[in-house]
Amino acid sequence: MRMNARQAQTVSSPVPTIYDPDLLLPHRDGEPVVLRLADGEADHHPTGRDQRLAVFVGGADSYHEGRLPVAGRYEHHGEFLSFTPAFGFVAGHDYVVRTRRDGEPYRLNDFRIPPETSAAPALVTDVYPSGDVLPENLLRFYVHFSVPMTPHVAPDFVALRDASGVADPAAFMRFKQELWNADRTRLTVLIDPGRIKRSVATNLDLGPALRNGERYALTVDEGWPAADGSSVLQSFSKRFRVGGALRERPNVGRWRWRPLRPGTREALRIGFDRPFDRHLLEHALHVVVGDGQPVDGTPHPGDYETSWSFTPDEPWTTGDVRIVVDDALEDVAGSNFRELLDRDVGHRLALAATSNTPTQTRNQE
Amino acid sequence: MSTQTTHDFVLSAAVSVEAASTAGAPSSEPSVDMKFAGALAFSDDGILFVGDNHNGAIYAFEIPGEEQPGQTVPHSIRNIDAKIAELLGVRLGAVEINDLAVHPVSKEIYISATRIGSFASQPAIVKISIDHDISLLNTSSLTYQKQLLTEFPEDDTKFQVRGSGPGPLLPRDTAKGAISMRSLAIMDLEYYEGELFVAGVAYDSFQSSLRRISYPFDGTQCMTAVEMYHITHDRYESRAPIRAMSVQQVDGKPQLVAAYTCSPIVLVPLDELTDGAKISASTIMDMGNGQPLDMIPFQMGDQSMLFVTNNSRSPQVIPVDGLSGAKAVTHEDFERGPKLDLHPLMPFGPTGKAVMFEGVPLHMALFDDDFFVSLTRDAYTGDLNLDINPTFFPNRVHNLVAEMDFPRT
Repeated sequence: MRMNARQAQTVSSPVPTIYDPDLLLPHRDGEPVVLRLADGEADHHPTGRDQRLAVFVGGADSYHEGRLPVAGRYEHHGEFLSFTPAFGFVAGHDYVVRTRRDGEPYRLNDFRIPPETSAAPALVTDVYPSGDVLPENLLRFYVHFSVPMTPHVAPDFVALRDASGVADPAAFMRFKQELWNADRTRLTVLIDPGRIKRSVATNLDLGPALRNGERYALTVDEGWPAADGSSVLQSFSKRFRVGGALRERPNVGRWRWRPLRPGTREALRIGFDRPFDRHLLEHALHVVVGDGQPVDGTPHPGDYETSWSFTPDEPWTTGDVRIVVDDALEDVAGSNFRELLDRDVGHRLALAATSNTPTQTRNQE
Repeated sequence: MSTQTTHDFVLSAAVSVEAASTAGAPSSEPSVDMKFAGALAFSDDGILFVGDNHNGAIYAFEIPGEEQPGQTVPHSIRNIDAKIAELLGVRLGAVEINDLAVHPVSKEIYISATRIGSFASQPAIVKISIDHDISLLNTSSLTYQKQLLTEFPEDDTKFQVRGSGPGPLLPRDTAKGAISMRSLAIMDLEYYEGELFVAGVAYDSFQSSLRRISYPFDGTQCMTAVEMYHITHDRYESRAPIRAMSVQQVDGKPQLVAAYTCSPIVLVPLDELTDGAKISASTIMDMGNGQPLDMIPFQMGDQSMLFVTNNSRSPQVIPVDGLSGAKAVTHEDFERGPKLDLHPLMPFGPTGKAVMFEGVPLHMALFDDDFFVSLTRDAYTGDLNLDINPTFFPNRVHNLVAEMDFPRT
């Protein structure tokens, strides 16, 4: 066997960490490293790397000359020089800051961004729709978690169970990709539309997943690991009863509210004609006045997603406001103001004739 | 583009409700929204083209370069991937290197990479100056254009899992089923006389395609579906994409010389690349095996050559002269049946010669008339090094011991 003629790597002897009292270290991702400069140093305006402040991957004991500092942006704010990494700091990794001043040896300061999720145990925090009675043709559940979760294992843990606790293995859609939000704290679970839509094959073979008058539970079994592996989920169960199906498009003509009192910050509260999709509801309603100026304020979906309140930041200037509703807003059965998820095949023609015209418009004319 | 429907109806004197549509709402884009930095190519005057397989777009960054006075000589940099990881603020395993290109004027070396974070990957383009400084390219300070690609595959279309022989599927086999087809949607970029040629997979029906986009981008693009006869597989293939390509004068006209996996090389006359066309490329050779990585034109003395690197065989040096007059073959030219590595027919056609190149060049580019630069994994140490390789002798041999290395007595 041939030995490779490789130069021994030059590693400087371990340098003791010397606390720099003028250094502010970040505690969470997104915060910069900040160095307070001595008198006379602040007028120096670097554009790229700075010899006085540099951050390296790894702890102080792994630092040696010749290492490349982490790329990022240097900025001056008065007597402070700050460094913001181009890609942020990775939680759980060690970093070392090297500070260097004229005529002094450099100082090394370790830091580590604590993992964001280590403190919080994995829990189901919310399930939407939040009501106790859900329609027979319910389309989706949202399961919210306290921490990011491990992907690709949801079908092993999430189940729809009947009143005797028996899981329905074909209740939910199976996709190649699970439907997560960006930080994997919200999972969307879709009831197989084939089980909801009347007279299609799965609906005929297996029957609907939810039957009017029956009791069910959406369960999440214990043992599902959090994405960072620091905890596993405790079991969770949401029990509900099934009521009649929602077969009509939403109708704003049946929404209810009280007149506003100008000069107050009293919340505008709208009672809907049905429960709406919790996630879409977040951005679907806007309050405007005059010829469309938006009113700033805080919305609150309520009453199991069957109402919506809006508290203005400033007192109402007029009682004459309009609510602009995104016509893509869906009810919990997946129907929006333009179309129904499930149309009765016997009335195809009649519905097609009105499908481009919001029913609420016709009702009001 | 409408943000509100015209059904402005009044429900009561006090509050009215109207429906608005989300379709076509104006978006506020950040300055550079690149999600992946993949294939790289430079125009002759320093436009850096970057393929973004995630967004389905080509970005064109204007990088003015100053000519260096006197002879510039590239230098080797050991453990280049570790240095890039240091720069991007992560450990070594969290960096993937995607491509390499050399600025034609300044001779700065550009490397596209992916920084793998806990939840998301981020693109990075790293610049190596002529005096060895390694820095992150600040794309937000550059003037750029972006061209979205039409018929781009959906993100959730994945490879099928076919296994690699008899026996149960191994994890390495099933892992292929998690790879998005988009990763093959932009394979190689080639700039030629004011146009950018893009090879890759289009549509969700997986068609091998060549896109032709004039630069500066004007929003238009032309796309051609390409089929070819694959000698080794003995079949006509229209899905697996071109891996590496170069425009050369062949038989008196400009043609794309294009290399496929496993591993035919075909010719496509540029005048056949019209929008919507489905063309048959002319198969003129087949190596018999391997997955091509880069095809780099260079001069060896007065001879024009193509240096074709490969992840599973030595680089091949192909004389451009040999392409003219080469016979285009079909299934009628051979006995039927697959012809694998050991078949006496292989390698077939004017393939040139394989050259000795210890280690595997991950990516290569021409630095100038005298040198290539390569990202090569050293066979002994496993280090990924930025290496230099002379064009007059395009080999990598310094780890080998031969008669001439013994002391003279």
